[in-house]
Amino acid sequence: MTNPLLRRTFLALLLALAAAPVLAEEPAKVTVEVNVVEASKKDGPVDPRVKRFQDQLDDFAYKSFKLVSEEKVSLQKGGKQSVGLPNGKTLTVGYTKVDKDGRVRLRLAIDGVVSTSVSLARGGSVVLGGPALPHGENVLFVPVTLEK
Amino acid sequence: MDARTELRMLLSAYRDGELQGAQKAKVEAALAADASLRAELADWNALAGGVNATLAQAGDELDEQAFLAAVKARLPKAPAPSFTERLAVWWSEMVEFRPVALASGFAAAAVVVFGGSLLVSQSLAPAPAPGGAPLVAEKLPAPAPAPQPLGGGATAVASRTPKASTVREVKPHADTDAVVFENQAGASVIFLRPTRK
Repeated sequence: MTNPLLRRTFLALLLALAAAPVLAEEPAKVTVEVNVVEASKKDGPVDPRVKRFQDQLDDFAYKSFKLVSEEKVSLQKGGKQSVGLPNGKTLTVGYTKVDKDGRVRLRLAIDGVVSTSVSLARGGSVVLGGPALPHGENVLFVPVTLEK
Repeated sequence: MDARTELRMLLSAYRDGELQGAQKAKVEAALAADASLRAELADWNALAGGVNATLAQAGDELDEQAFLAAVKARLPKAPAPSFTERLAVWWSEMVEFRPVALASGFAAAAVVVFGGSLLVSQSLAPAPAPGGAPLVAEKLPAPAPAPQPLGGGATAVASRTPKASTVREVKPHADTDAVVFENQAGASVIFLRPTRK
């Protein structure tokens, strides 16, 4: 390859490919937003603050949604924090690590119910749904969102 | 024209090597017999040497670089070839003179691109769920119409990268079923409900 411009372009491409995994940033601290939504199968209003999770909630047979609480937790790498739920349970959110693709690995656990590990992109969310409330047929949906 | 004048005219031609045969022999015979004629030939030679030396000196003193620059400045300037023109020339030369090198370059580039893509896709794929929870491929891309337990209480989601969220592992407690859904936007829902007795 005698053309210097093409040769430099080719080398730059090689360097970019080699450097891509290294460039994935690993923040020491992340902020996670925990929303608690009460869902009912009865007809009713949908809280406008829940609209952004509508895509994830539409798959279920619940018709009305109400935002019960929202909380932001700041997590150091390796650290965890707990958020109280209306059913008396506690959601624990832990910042485990950063994956090779740059997404943040979180451990979410509701005591006595479930423990899970998820990878979230910036602005991405996962919803823990279904924990029942102590009275009635309503259930909780808990969207956990990694802040951008 | 008398004989002397004719000899003097022939002398110049003789000096320049232009005479042959009888004329040359005639001049040589005259030179042998006439000292004044030999002196005149010597004058001719001296004069010619002086002229040559003068011309050589004038040539040495000529500033060739300045002369060339002046000539070049008067020539019409051709526009510089564009990048595409240079690329086309390079390409035609490569095809004509270095086809093997060109083919090798393309082969190497293909290996790099293919290998790089493979490495990147592998690095983006989720790690298998460690222990316990089985990794269950999820239906994509259509969203799930309703929760469907996948049995055993634990599920996780296969990869479709990059996406907003990926459930790596789910460990429900004994009395809970967990079902993982992923919508078309790549967002995940872990739906939990009590185990049916």
